[in-house]
Amino acid sequence: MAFLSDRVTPGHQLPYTMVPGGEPLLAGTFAGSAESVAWSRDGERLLVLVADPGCYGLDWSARAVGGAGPAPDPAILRPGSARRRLFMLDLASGDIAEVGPPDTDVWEVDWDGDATAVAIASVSPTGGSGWYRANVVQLDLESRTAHTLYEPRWQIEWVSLSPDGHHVAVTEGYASDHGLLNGSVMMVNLVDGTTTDPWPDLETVGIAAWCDEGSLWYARCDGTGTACGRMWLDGRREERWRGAAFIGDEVTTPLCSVNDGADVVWTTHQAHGQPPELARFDHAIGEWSRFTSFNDAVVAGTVFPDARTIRWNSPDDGMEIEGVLITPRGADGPFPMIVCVHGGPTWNWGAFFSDSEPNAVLLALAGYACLLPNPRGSIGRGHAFAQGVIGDGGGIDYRDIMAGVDHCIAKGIADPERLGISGLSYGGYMAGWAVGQTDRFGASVAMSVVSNYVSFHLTSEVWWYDHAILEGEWNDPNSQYVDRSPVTHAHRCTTPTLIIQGAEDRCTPLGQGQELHQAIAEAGAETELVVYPREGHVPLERAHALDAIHRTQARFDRHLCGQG
Amino acid sequence: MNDNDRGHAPTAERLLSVRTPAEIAFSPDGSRVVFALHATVADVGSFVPSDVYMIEGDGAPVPLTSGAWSDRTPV
Repeated sequence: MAFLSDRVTPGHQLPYTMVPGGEPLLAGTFAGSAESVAWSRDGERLLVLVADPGCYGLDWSARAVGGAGPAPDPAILRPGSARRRLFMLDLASGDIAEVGPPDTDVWEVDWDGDATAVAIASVSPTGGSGWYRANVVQLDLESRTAHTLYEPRWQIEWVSLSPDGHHVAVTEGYASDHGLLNGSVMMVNLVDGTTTDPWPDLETVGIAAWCDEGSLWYARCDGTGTACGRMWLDGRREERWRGAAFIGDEVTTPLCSVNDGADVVWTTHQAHGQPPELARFDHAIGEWSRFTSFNDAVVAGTVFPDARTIRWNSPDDGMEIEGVLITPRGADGPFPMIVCVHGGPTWNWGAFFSDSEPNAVLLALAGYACLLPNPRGSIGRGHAFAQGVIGDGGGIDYRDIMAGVDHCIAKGIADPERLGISGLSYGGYMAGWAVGQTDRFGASVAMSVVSNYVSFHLTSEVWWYDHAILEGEWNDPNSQYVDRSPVTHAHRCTTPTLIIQGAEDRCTPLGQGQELHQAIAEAGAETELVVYPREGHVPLERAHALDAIHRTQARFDRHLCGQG
Repeated sequence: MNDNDRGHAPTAERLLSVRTPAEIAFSPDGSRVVFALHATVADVGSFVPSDVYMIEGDGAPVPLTSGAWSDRTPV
């Protein structure tokens, strides 16, 4: 077995080998941090994907990738100076050779362990935005060259070589961020060079895993639920399961793992009230059987709030919008209600055990209704719905959300005098945007915000995101870069607004929070900026995560319920 | 809701103690799976810890590594 570990230097991942039951052996060292490892067929070499120090971190922290040594002093930035590279490591000799193409970022690689390697790779732009313009390529590891197989219209992830080496599967769709992509499974034929979509009705797949040379097992979002099944290269498809649970280890990407032939299918399964555990698919009854019990102590004797999917119609075009509603268990409204806006916008709220940022489960236990809307831009409804936010971020999605608020008021769920809004990343953008659009919210908590698209474009590693979602250019004062920025409208803000930001965030840099804080302060509204040192896009130190949860609830308790 | 239904509510501390099995990989003969068990937050330092486990057949998961560091992505 091979695996990655940062046991030498925290955050600096290196490849190890180990015979199960034995001791881990460090296989080789790199200046950068390893992100994936693959075996050669003879078991004598490892293909290692390594991110240089300073690369944009692809975990949810979005901090800079660390290296073996201390951070450089001074830090010097040049375009293309930090890349994601491929190395071949000979286990017997310890020799390491760079085998990926020069001046190229390799975001993912799949290797047959011999002569065939395929990858998702980009040449420009450099840095974290390169992924948005990446292609599917075939690599020659001897000559260090790449041959482009497929130039996608949208973003791509999860490249996977068929067992016979004849096909490459890759998921394609519009995605605001790496790791959030759901879409179509495109099939690249390595024999004739064509790329097709054999399953045009499938638009919400996370990952498809090869069962054999002629079929794959897919997992997909299905509104607020998920689904999975088998599909064949001739276009046939059989959906084997769909339900109100999430399958996949990251709550952004539905995923199953299969053995040869797909007799055995595993996933990570979670749902409201059910923490994530490994589950095995029972083909006989078409259901998941939860297998592990790592989190029994967390849920033993625990009562969770009520959760259900609700639907309403858009005032723009009548489109049905859905979301998750979490309410105090067994209680009737109207409740004070918090609108929890998800990040992305290419993501959605689903059947998650513990909805995060803000933690809706805990807010509901404290007496709040939490509306978790999936407006235009969300995944799980197909390409057109996910792309519906392009050119209108803060417009149609904001109106979809506010229609959900009105629906909850009309249904007696929400108290119109006690409304709050919160979110992280794009959710933070929306929490900062809303307070410049309306005074209906009594409090707002905006985490990891985008507040000024001009400065975001010039300081964030993922500036391609704004290029994709906005109309116009960053240096055009009449473009959406200005008009759709929360700071432009913050002079109208009367809503007490708490802003929470990580000091090391390279997705939504600290300055975004500082700008919104200053703009709201100048408007005369109450505002507070909380900055967590060492943190990136999402707080990962327990003390910071706890502080964010408690501070958020305290803010709503004070302004919506008169407590504290 | 009566008191018998009430049970105890989850706390932030407990929800942050959830661990997520992830990165499942099969052995070449398909008889074993290995996976990483990720913590939700870091109790020490700024990087979330993770251990590698193995399941053989229908057996219970067996830890192959442990520690405050992050062991992940087994293949």
